[in-house]
Amino acid sequence: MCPHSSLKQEFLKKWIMGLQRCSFSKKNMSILERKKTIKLSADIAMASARNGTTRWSRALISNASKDGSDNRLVQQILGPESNTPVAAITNKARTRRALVCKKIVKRSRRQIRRRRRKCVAAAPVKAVTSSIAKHLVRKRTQVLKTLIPGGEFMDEICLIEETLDYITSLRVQVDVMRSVASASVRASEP
Amino acid sequence: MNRALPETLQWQQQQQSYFSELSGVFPSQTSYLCFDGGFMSSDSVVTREVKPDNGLETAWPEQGKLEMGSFGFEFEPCGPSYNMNYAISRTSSCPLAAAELVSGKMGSGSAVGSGNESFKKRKADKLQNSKAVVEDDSMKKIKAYEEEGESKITGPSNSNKSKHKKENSTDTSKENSKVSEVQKPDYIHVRARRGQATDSHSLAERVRREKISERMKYLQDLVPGCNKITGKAGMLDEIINYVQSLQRQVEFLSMKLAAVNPRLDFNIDNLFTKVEEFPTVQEVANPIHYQHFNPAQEVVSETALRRTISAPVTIPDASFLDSSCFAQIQPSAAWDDVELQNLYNVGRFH
Repeated sequence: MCPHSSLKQEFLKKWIMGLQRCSFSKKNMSILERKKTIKLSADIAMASARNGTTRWSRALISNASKDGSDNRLVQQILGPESNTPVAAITNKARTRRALVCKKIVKRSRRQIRRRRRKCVAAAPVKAVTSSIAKHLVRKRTQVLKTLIPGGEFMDEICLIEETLDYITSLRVQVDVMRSVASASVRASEP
Repeated sequence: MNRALPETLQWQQQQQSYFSELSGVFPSQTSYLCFDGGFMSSDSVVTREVKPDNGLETAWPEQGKLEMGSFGFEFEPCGPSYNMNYAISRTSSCPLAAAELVSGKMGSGSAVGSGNESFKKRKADKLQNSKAVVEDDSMKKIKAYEEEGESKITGPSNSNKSKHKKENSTDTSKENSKVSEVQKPDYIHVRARRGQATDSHSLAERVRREKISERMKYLQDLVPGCNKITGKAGMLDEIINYVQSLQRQVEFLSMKLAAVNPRLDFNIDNLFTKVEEFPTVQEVANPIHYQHFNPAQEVVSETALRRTISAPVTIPDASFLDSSCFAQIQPSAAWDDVELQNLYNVGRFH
């Protein structure tokens, strides 16, 4: 499936503009610094291409603007449109409260389950396999939550939607970056 | 893409059979039944799926034509609305962004916004109030007949998978997995399946599960190699692997770009002086990609990378593999460099 070329256009434009803004500030960066700025600018360009419609994009931008060292970079890249980080931070505050409530509910549920398990005798095989499957699913959703930016604050349904969007935008990012990289490699060869 | 269609095809099949019983041939009904808002591809699929209905018709010869006639007339006015609402309710759960991207398959991106408000919590007691009492009786009768006809339908069509997916979520096994969704302004009414509890908790659970399984279907189409896997755990595993591989690719590419450009100046105009071909992340190429992502191998084929990296500090293991993968995949390129240049120029002059 080919993503829309408009998305690629927007990403490319924002990325290159962001990089140009960054390159004016510092000279003689080490390779790791360069890699970091390239990756950061690419991520932020990707996230801002979504214009705050998806949660992962907002979470990504707010994560990047949280740290002091990257904050200047983010501000440079985003430029005059600096309203998105503010909205993202307030969004995170709200979801953090929701997360605390969810944690309390989960803890109480776990305690109830433990008490029930002590009372109930050995379950039949079917229940055991289904509980194993549920356990696996739960473990893997936990892993997925760590992968998607801002995933810990989402419930399952939102998580899968965000994963869909995130995968498509990652694909676009990889496409564009790969072509730019190969082009610059060829251009640099004598 | 046929995954979202099979369940709607069920409805179409039933209604197709009713109409054909009525008057032999309803050639216009095929277009009548196809959704106006979307599912453009369903036209051809419907005409193909009419064939299994012959089994249905033979199963009901004892039924009076008069009764079928009444059923048909019952359903005729609400037929398209059923399908339309069904379509809308199925598509309304997607976020707009994802709906945009899958609009090639669903074809009803505009219908999403209108259907959103209808997708709220349901009430079990509204089941009786939905539509007329006559329809209730007719629904029950149709359910009974459907059980006979079900075995004949499930053979030819591949809607089995989606039905069984739903059925596996409950412990009891049943043949009838029909869920009727009637659109009212604020609620979606769900008829409880046979042998299942009707309290609000289990219904809400079922709604949630159906939403999740629907979205997993989209993910199945997106992630390559997920077509054979049916369980949630396995698919989640594939999704995790895929996302991790994409993220690693981004890391590697940014490192590569940093190595190639000592000064972070990307002058795109100079980059495309030659005519080149660029690989894209294709469906075919992807399985090759992350199958190679095992930390066991260490092959570096990128000479530029080797020259510039003298003391690697935090380079991920997979980066060495990526280069070998990319070298393999470059012959299978599909993207024109002219396109990239156009992209950039268009973006620049905005």
